[in-house]
Amino acid sequence: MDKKPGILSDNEVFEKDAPLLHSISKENPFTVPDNYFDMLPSQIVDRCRTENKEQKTLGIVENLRLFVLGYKWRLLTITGCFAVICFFAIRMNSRPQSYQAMAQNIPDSVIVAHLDKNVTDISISALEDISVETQEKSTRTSAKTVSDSTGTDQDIIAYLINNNVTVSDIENEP
Amino acid sequence: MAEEVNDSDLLEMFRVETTRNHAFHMLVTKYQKRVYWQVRRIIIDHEDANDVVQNVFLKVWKNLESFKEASSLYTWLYRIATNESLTFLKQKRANMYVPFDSVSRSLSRKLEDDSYFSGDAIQKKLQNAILTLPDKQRIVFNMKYFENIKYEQMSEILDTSVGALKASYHHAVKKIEAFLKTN
Repeated sequence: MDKKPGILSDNEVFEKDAPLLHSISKENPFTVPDNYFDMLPSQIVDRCRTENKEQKTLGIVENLRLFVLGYKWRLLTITGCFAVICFFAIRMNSRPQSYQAMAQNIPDSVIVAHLDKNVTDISISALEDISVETQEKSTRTSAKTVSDSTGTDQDIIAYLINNNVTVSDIENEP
Repeated sequence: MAEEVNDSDLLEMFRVETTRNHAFHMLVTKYQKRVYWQVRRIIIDHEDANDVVQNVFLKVWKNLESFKEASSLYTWLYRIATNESLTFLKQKRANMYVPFDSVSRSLSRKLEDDSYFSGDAIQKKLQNAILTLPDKQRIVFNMKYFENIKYEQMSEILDTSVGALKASYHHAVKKIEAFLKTN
């Protein structure tokens, strides 16, 4: 490329701006051991081959390790989930039932037998309290009560109250 | 000396399993000196430079098959060599737990004791001046001053604009000149 008159080349600028640097030889001052470049290609190729083999072996070992580790973690996770589910299932089953639910499971005959054996005296006021409470309940849920339960006990109590039947009347009944 | 095979033939040979080792041997023979001197000027010590050069070619071996030829093989090799050298210095800095100045001083001391340095006092002074530059500026200076690589090619290797490279070189020259004057 032609140089325009009056414009300095890079080299001329360099010479003007950095005369000391320009005066130093650009010869490479570094050296290497004898025959270094004759042996380097073989050394490098050998190293590449070795690394290749090691990588293959490592690859197999690594894959195996990952598989075992992966399997172990999967197994641990599944076992953990199963343990948590079991824990909650056991807790749910062992929760105490309410007295009402328990009482529902006891047949009337057993209750009557128990009362016959153990209860000698029932106060009228207690019976009345129970009956009032039951009546209120039955009024609130009358529709449901009719369809859901037999209502035998409640009917009896209601009947006894409505007809002014006392305990002695029941006792004296043949 | 064996005739040099061109890059595309080398790459073709490398892709064939039976000629891979031979192709790689030829590739190393062809580029070893340029790669070595590029690394050596950054690392200074021969033993360290030797390790880095081996790592560079190991990386080349691992990635050559997937080399897309978007740039020339030479540019690609140069880029790997530069990055590996910078990584080496970074690791050295991290291991020493010292700031930039100390690594440059340590490289300077290596230069004093280096049995593979044949330069005279003024050349040693120049190398010491170069060592005061930041890593990237040092690389730019070495590429331009010693190897006379074109800015366009340097731009591809260092992934920096031509303008930035010119400015970097200009600053480096001024700093070195100042160092030579005062020391």
